[in-house]
Amino acid sequence: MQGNDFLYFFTDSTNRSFYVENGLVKLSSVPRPLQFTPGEWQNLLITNKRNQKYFALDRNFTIPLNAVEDGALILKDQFYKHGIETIVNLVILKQHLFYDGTEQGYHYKSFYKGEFDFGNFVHSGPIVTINVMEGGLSKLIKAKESTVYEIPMDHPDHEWIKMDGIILKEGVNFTAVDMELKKSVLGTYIIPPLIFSSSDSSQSPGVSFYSPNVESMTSNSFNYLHTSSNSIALAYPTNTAPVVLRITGPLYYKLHRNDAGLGIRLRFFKSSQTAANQNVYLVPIGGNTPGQTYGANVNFNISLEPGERLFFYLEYIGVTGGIDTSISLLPSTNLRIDYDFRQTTSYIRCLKPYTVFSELIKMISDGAYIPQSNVLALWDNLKITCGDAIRGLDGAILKTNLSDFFDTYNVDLDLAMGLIAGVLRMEYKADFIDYLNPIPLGSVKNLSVKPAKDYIYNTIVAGQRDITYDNVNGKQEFNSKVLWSTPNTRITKELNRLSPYRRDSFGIEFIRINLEGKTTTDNSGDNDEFVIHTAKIPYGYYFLDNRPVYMLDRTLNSGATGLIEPSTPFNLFFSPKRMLLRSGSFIRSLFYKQDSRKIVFQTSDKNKELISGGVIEKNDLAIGSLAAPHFMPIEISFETVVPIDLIETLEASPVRAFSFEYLGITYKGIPVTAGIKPADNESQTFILLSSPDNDLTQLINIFE
Amino acid sequence: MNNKINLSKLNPVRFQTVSWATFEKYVQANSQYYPYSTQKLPQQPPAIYAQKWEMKDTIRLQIEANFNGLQVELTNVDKSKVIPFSQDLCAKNKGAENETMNQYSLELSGIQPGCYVIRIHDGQENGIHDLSDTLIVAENHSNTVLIEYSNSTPEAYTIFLPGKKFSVRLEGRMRQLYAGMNDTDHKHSRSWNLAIGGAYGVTPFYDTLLKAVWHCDQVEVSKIPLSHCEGFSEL
Repeated sequence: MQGNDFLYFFTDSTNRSFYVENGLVKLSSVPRPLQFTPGEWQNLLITNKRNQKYFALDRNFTIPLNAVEDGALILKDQFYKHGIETIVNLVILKQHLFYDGTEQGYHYKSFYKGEFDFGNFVHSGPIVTINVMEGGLSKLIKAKESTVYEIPMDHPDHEWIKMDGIILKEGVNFTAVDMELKKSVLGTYIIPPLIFSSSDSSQSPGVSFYSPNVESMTSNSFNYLHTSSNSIALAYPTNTAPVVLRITGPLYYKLHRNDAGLGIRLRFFKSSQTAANQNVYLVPIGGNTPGQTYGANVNFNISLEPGERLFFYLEYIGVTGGIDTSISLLPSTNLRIDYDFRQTTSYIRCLKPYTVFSELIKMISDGAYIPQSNVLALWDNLKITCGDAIRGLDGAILKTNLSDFFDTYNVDLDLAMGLIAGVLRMEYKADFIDYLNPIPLGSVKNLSVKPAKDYIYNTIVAGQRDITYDNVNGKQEFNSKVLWSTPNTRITKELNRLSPYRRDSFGIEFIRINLEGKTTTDNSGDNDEFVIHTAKIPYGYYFLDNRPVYMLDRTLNSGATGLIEPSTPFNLFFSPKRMLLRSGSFIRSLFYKQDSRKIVFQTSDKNKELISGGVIEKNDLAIGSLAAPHFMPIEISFETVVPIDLIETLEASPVRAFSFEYLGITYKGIPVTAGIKPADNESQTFILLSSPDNDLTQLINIFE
Repeated sequence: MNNKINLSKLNPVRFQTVSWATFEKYVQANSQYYPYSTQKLPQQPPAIYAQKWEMKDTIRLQIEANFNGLQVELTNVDKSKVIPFSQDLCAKNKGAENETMNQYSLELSGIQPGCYVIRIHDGQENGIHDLSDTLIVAENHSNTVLIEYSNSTPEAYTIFLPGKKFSVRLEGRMRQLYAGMNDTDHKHSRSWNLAIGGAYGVTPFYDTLLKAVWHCDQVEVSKIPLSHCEGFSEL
């Protein structure tokens, strides 16, 4: 026979039922319903509301329940013994009649599960009043999405990226000090004072430059220079390849006195050079008339081996006739040294995105939940690392939170995150919208249509937050903040598509160059999270731990322009324009009837000249050229009778769109707000985002 | 175990448990006092309410029972005529053999106009005995609408058989909005206004019944498929 319409259970976190026996609260692994139904249950209104960030449905509850008798005793028992963090779930089963054509019967199906919020527990007399909240993982995510968790980069699932460097351009300038260099005072071999006046970057990569002091050398100048540190340049001993310095520019000197028997030699000289090749970098000098100023155009390519120094010195040669000889280098001297530098290859630890996602959910839920994601498995070559790992520091730790993690991958891949059939999934937004199998709502009334202002923007900012570099090459960085304007003018709002995790390849390289292995030096980027685009297939396994090693992905570099040296930068995949294109379905959804309009490029914080794989970063974006939209930015609200099984349907498949009929025409949409009053299924106001397939012009002649 | 029945929430007729011995008294009372009399003004005379059915209508009932031998009959108020309902369905409960879900129907086309009561009983002297409100069967009841309803799946603990819709006749009317306009002129001319209830509305039983009916996915009012929320209003 037909039993109770609903059965109510109070359960613990392992789904055991609380029950009361002889005045004592006990737990049973066999489901045991309450003897006394909580009051106010009939007024419970469950609202499924679309979370704009995660693009999934959140459930909210409006009515506090009044528990009496056994229900009240259980709640009091748990509260007074365990405090507000104790977990008691409200589980409601609903009775259903089935009929197979010959036989019939009844069964109870899960109707609703929520968690009591003991933060709102009120015990008054025989009644306990308490709110029900969305329990389980949804509650935990709401509470902890911004909590920063630490994930060691030596996680068992870590991998390696082979960082083989970006070719960086650097230039430094030298000038001279006007100082008379007398042979009678300083001798035959003199290091003249030069001033290292400026550099393109605050910290030049691979080479240290100095301002040599005036110095009198011993007669055995070559041996002296083999050990002296009074050089103009020193190639880092840690370099693994020679650095070729291109020295150009005018060198001016004034001849004060000249002993006819003496000559002047101005030389660049490497610390490994010998007497035999001392004149390889001899500066051509002018005449020998006292009082005259002479100039020489310097133009040398000098290759410095790792640890090798470069000197500049003056030699007075010949036999003196007794008259002193002296020259002054002039401040108008302007020597420029340019060089290309590519940092030594290093291997840095990284994590696959799913590894980080899974770890975050595990930490948020104390290990109770393991999420799933096809999209993160598909894009497992968008690896995550951190500043300390880029520096190669042992014990590097990724410090991040779920909110930033989601935003990072959402802006690139157009994602949504939510519970589907009890499992937390992060997938493409398109996978969270099912127009093919909509939930039919039948005919509706009080239809109202308006622009969905939450989804209308007049500007879009994309890329990543601006980073200030102390290296001239940073101007080439294409993964920077870019602003576009949209055709919308009536609503002033900015769509933020900035990635919280950095993806600036030059910034990554600067950290690697400047701080690699420097364990005692802090850097502002140490705790930054980074995403690096690697090849899908490992090219080998790291010798220390046999974990896979991936090359940087540079498939888009071929034919790229807008970079001084286009072959070695990486992460072109993440360029701001590409981000928008990959999110084309979402971006196009923000515009109603504006396919012929454009999203206009406005400004870029750094390099806007990049063109790669046919994508021109600074070109405007034709809205009609973007991928098919997910929805239209049109909000349709109406009153409708709620399907009896809507709660179960949405729980099993919250991605299903709704269809409804209005004056004989069927429309579809995805829910923004869908209320359900389970007790009597009263008619509720639903708000949908219109399906792009709806022909809303059919509403023009509706006058109701 | 005592004999028990459960009446479907979608049954179009209200029943009360009344002993057979008090039948006349029940009919008398039930015919004279309008349940909404308390809502009338003090100076107004008591109204009489009885459910109206036309002779072209079919009354369909669904009843769950835990025994065999359930009987459903239409009887006139002087007990002179007893017309049994025919049984459309007797589905056994998978878990309890004695329990059955039964559907009965009676086409009123062969019934003489008059006042009737539906009687549900198990034939036992002290057993099940439920009587319906008084029904007035006539060839035609003006200002009434026939609401027919069915659902594609079991709903409200009721099984729906193909081609066997439930129906209820109530005071009310379907009125075309913007009367006088042609379909070709205006799309909204397809919209109808459904008004339910006579001068004093409907009894609480029908209010509850209609709430359940509106959840059904196939509803027709006077043979017009209903956009059941559309233009609904009470007088």
